[in-house]
Amino acid sequence: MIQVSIDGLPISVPAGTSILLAAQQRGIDIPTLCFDPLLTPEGVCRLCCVEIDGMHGLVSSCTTTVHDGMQVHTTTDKVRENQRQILGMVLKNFGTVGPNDPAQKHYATLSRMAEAAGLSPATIQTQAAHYLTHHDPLLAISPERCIQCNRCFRYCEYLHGFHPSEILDMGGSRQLSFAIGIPLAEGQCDHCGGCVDHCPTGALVEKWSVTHGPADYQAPSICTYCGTGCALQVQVKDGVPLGAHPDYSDASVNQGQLCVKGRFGLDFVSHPDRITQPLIRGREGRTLDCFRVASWDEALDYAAREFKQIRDNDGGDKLAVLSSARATNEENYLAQKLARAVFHTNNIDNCARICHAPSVVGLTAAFGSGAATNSLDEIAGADCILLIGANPTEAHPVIGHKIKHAVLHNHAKLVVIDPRNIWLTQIADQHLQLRAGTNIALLNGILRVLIEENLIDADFIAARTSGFEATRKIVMDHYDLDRVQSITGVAADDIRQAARLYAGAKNSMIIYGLGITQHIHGSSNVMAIANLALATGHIGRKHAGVCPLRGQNNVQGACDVGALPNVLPGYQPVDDPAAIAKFSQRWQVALPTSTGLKSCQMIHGAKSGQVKGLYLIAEDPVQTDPDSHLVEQAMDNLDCLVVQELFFTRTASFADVILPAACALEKEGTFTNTDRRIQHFKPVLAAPGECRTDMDIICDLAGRMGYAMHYDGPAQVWEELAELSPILYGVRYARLTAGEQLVWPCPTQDDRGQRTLHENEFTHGKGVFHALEFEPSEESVDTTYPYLLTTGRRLEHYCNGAMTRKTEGLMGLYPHERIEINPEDAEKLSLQEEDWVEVKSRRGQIKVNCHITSRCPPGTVFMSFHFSETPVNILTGSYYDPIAITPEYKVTAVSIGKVV
Amino acid sequence: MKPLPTPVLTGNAPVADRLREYYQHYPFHALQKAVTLSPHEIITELKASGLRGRGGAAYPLGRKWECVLQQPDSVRYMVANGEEGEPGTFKDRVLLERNPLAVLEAMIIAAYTVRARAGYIYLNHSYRQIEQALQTLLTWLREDQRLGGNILKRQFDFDIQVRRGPSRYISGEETALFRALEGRRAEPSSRPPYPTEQGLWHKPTIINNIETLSCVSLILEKGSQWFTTLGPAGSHGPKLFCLSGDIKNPGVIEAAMDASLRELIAWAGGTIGAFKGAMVSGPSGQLFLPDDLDKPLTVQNGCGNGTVIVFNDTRCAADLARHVTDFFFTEHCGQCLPGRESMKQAKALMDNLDHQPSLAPVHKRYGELHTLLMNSSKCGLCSSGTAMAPALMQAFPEDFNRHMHGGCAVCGTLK
Repeated sequence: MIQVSIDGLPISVPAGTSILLAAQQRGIDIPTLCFDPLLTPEGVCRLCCVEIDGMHGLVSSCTTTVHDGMQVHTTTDKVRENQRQILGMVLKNFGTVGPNDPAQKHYATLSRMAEAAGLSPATIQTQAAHYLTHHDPLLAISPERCIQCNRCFRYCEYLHGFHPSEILDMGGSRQLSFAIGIPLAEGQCDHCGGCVDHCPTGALVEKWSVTHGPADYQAPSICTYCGTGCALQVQVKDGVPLGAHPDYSDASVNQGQLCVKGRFGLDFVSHPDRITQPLIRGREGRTLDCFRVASWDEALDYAAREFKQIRDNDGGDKLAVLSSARATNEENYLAQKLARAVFHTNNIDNCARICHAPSVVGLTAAFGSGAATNSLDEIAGADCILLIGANPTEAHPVIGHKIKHAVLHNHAKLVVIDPRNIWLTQIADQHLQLRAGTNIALLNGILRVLIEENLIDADFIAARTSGFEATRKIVMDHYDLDRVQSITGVAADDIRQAARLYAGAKNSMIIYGLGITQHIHGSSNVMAIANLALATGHIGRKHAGVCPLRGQNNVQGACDVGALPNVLPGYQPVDDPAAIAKFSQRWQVALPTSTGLKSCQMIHGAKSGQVKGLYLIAEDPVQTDPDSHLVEQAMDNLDCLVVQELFFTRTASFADVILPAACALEKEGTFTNTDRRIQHFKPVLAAPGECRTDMDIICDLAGRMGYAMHYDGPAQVWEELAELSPILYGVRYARLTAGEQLVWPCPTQDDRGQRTLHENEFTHGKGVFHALEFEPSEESVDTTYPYLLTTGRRLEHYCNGAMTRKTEGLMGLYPHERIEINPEDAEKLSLQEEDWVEVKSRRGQIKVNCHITSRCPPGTVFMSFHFSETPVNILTGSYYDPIAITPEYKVTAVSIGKVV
Repeated sequence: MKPLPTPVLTGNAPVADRLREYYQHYPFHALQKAVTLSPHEIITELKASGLRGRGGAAYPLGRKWECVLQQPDSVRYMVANGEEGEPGTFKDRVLLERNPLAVLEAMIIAAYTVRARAGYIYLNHSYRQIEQALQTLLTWLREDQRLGGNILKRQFDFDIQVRRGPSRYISGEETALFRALEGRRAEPSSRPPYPTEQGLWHKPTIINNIETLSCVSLILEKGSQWFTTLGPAGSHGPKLFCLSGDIKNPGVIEAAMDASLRELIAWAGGTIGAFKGAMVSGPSGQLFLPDDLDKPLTVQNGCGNGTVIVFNDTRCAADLARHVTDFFFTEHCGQCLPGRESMKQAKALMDNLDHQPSLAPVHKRYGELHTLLMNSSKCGLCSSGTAMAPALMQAFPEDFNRHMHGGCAVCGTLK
C-alpha cells in the first residue's frame, strides 16, 4: 500500500491508484470532464490538475499514479486559477442557455464546478451554440460544446468494439468527424445512446431534447420491449414520453445501458393512431371505418353476452383466451383466472407458444425447471460462451453487450452456431455455420467429440444424471463426424474445435434463442443442448449453465402465472388434484382438469369451428403466427373475436369488438424477465382517452359474465397469486417496492430467491439425458422452391412493428423490410440492390425489396416479420414441434424471382 | 572525366560515389571499445562526461540510459530523433550528411548497453537523400555483423529501421514521435509514465537527438575525461550552433558552450544591420536582447538546442510575435483543451492587434494563456510556443503600440 497525503489528509491506497481516485476514496472531489470511470484516462481536459510538492507546474491527477510520500494539494491558488481558466474556456464555448436548452443539466454541473473554483458563469460573454441534427436520425451534436474528450466514442469502442467516428485534422481544426456533420460510420452504431450518457458537456444529445427540450420530469419503469428487462428512467415532457434514459443501479439488469428501442422507441405511447375508445364492428371489412365508437358498457356487454352464450350453449371449451406476454403478471393471472373460473376452460395460452415453449418443455424434461439456469450477470464471468440460434446484438442488445464484454474484456471464448454471419461471428473464436434445421445432428456431433476425446465429466454424469448410456449409444452409433458434416455442412475439424473450447473452459455458458426452439424439433433441440451441459458438468454453478433468451418483456411471467393450457399459476399441472382443489377453493368455483388448446391449436380450432369465441389480448397472430392465410380464415370463421389492443393491427381488423388498453407506462404491475427477475413498476403517465388497463377490463368482463372480480389494485392480485404459487410465495409487493431484487424460485419471504439453479441437485433430482435422432424438416427445398427462408428480427424494430414504426428515427434507420440474399444467389437471379422480388412458398407469395449481403450463406435467405406490408408469415407453414406445438419459422422453402 | 583517385577536397566524407570508402575507412573505435565494457561501465563513462541532450531539453544522457537499463521489462527500444522541426535548426541534417555512421554507431552502442531489440531513426520528411544513404549503410552494417543477429559475436541482436515523417513539428515531441512510429495520430501521450518507462509500444525506450548520439560515439572513443575539457561545468562537450536570420554568414558553428552570443555572431560574420534581438533555441526558446550579448550560452543560460535566429532593427517585434504565434497555432496538435483553446485565443489576439486600444490587456491575456499552458497543458509545445510573444511585447512595446495607433510603417500597415 502507498501512503500519500492529499490536502493534508493521510490516505493509504494500493500501488497503481491514480491521484484522482485516491482523492475520491477520501471524499475529496477533484473536478473532471474527460475522466470516465470505465475508460483509460486520456488526460486531455486538464481540469483535474493538482499541485504536488517537488513537481513543477501542475500534474494531471487522473493520469498520474501515486507514489509513497506524495504530498498533493487540490485547492491552492494555482489549482483554482487553472480550473477557472479551463472552465472559462468551456463555458465561453458552451454558449447561452435558454429554457429549452438540451444541455441544462450539464450546464448546471459546469456552473457548479466554476463557482467552486471562484468563477461566476454570469461574467462570461458568449453567444448561442447550435446543434447539428440532420446527419443522424436519432442523435444531435453541438460542435461548440464538444471538448473533444472523446468519451462518447471511446465508450462505444469499449462497449461494442465499434469505431463510429474519428478525430480528423489537427490544431484549431481538430474535430470529431461526427461533430462536423459526417454521419456515423456505416455498421458502426447501434444507436444505444451510451455515447450520450457519457458526454460531460451535453454536446452529444438525443435529438428529442433539441426538438422538444429537456424533460419536465423522469419516472422509473421497466422496458416494454424484450425479455432483458432493462430498468428505465422515462423522460416525460408536456405529458408525452420523449424517450428513456437507463437506470444506473448495480441491482438492475442493464446497469446504465439501453438499446435503441428502449431509449428511443416510446413515441407509440402518445401517437394519434392509439385506439382510445371502445369499437364495435358496424359492417364487414378490414378497415377502421368498419367500426363504430361505443361506450364501455355497450362494448363489454356485447362481449360478455357473446361469450356467455357460447359457453352456456356449446361449453366453455368452445371459448379460448390468448393472453398477452406484454401484459403484466397480475393481468396474465387474471386472464387465466377468467379462462378457468369464468369461461370454464383451460384454453388459455400466450405467445411463448410460438417461441420458447420448447424451452419450457425441454429444460423441464432435462433439469426439472423450464427457465434460465443462471442470472444474466453471470455472463461476464463465463470463460466460454456457446451461442446457438440467437442474434442478441439485434434482438436482446443489452445481453449482446454483456456477451461483448465477456469476449472483448474478459477473454471469454465465443462459439457461434448460426446459419448466418451474425455480428457476433466477428469476435467469435469459432463460427459453425450449419444448414438451418440441422441442430440435432450438430449438437450430437459435438457430444460425439466430447465422448471420443474424453472431455466429458464422468464424475458429474455418474453422481448427478441419468440416461447417459442410451444417449451415448445413439451418438456413437449414428453420429460420426463425416455424417454430421454431410448433414450440417459444418467441417468436422470445426466441430472438434468448438467441442474442445466448450468442454475445456473452466465455466461455459450456453445461450440460445429461437434458432433452437422455432423448429419442429424445438423441444428436442433444447434437450440436445441440455445434454451438452450435463455431459460436461457446465451447469449448477455460477457462470455455467443454459440460458434461453426469452423474447417478450413478460413472456417468462405470463408462463409463470399460468397463462398456459396445461398448468395453473406456478407451473402446477391442471391434472394435479391437489392443485385443482387449492385453486378451486380459493376461487370458489369448479375448475376444468384436462389440458386445454395451445395457441396454434386455437387458431386451427377457430378455422374448424372447434373454437367459436376468442378473447385476444395484445397479440397479432395474423401477422406473427405462421401461415397467415390460414390464420385469416380462422379469424374470419370465429363467431366472436374480441381484441384488446393499443393499435388497429391486422388481427384487430378481424374483430367484432376492439377494447382500447393502457400500455405499460400507464399502469402499475410487475414483469418477469428472462433470468426470472420479478420487477415492479408504477405508472409514468395517465392513459389517453378512455383506455383502461387490461386488469380493469378483464375484471369488468368477468363481472358481466357473472363472476365477481374485485381488486383494489395490482398489489392485491399479486398477493393472491403468490399465496397460491410456491415458487413465487416469497415475492411480495412490500419487498419489491422496498427495492429488493427478487427472482423465483422464492419459496419464503426470508430469502431473495435462487439466481443460480441446480447447484446441489436438479429441480427434479437428477439431470436427465435424452437420446435424440436427427430428422429433416418436413418443409424441404426442391427444384420449385430452391431457397431456404429463415425468419427473425431486426435491431430497430419489434415484433409486428406496431410500436417501433411510430418512431420517426427508428423508421429513418430501417424504413422498410428487405429480404437478405447472398451475392452469389443475387447474381444468378440478376438482382441489384433494392430490386423488388417475388417470394413464393407452398402457401402464398409476397413482394419485397432485396438486400444483397453475405450475411446469408448461398441458398439461404432471411427476412423479418416486422412490416405488415411485407407479411412474411404468408409464406411460413404450419409445421409444429409435436410436444410444444411451436411452429418451424426457421425453415421455409421458397422460390425467388425478380419482379420485372 | 573520372573521379580523382585520391580525393583531397572531400577526404573520407560520405559523398555519393564514395559512400563505400567512407564506410570502409570508418574506424568504429567507439563500438569496439563499448563491447569490451559492461553496460554499467558504459553508463558510468557517459555520466562522467556530463553529456546532456542536444534537442532542447538538455536532460543528462547517462541518467536516461541508466533508467532504461534498470526497467523490469526486458523489451526495450532505441529511437534517434531526427525530426529537427524547430525553425532555424539544421545541425542534425549537417551531422547526418557528414558523418552518419557516428549516429548509427551510437545507436548500436545504446542497444548493446540496454539490450534494445530494435532501433528507429525518425527523419524529417525532407531528408530523402539522407534516408537513402542510411539505408545503404545499414545494409553494409548487417553484412559485417554490426547489425542483425549476434552482433560482433557478443550475443545481442539489434537492427535499425529508418522512417521519414509524417513530419510535423509535433512529431518531434518524443511521445508523439512514438505514436507516429506506431501508425497512430502523432499526438503527445500523458507523462508520467516517461519514455524510459513506457515509450515506443509502451516499452522502455531511449530516445536521443542526432547530435547527442554523435557525442556518445566521441565519448566512447576519446573518453569522458577529454569530453569534460570542452566547455564549462554543466555544459560539457562540443556544441553545434545554428546561426540564421539577419546574419552575414548563416550556418553551423561548432563551439563550446561558454561562447557568448556576441562571439557567435562575430564568428558568423556579424549582424546585417544593427542587432535588435535573437531567439535562442528557436522561437520556442528565449529572447536575448542587446544586454544579453555577453552571456555564455550554457545550458543554464538557455542554450537549448543551440539555434540562434538573429533579427535586426528593421524587424517589427509585433510582426515577429504574429509569425511565432501563427507557427505554433498551425503546428499545435489540438488534443488538450487548454492547448487548443489557448492557441485560438493567442492567434486572435495577434490577428486583431491593430484593433486593440492598448497593449497592456493583450500582454496580460497572452501571459495568462502562457501561464495556463505552463501549468497544465499536456505537453510542452504550446507552453514554450507562447513565451516568445510576451517577451517581445515586454521588450519592444513601441512596435506593438505603433500597430495599435496609426499603423506600422515597418509592416506597411499604415492607417
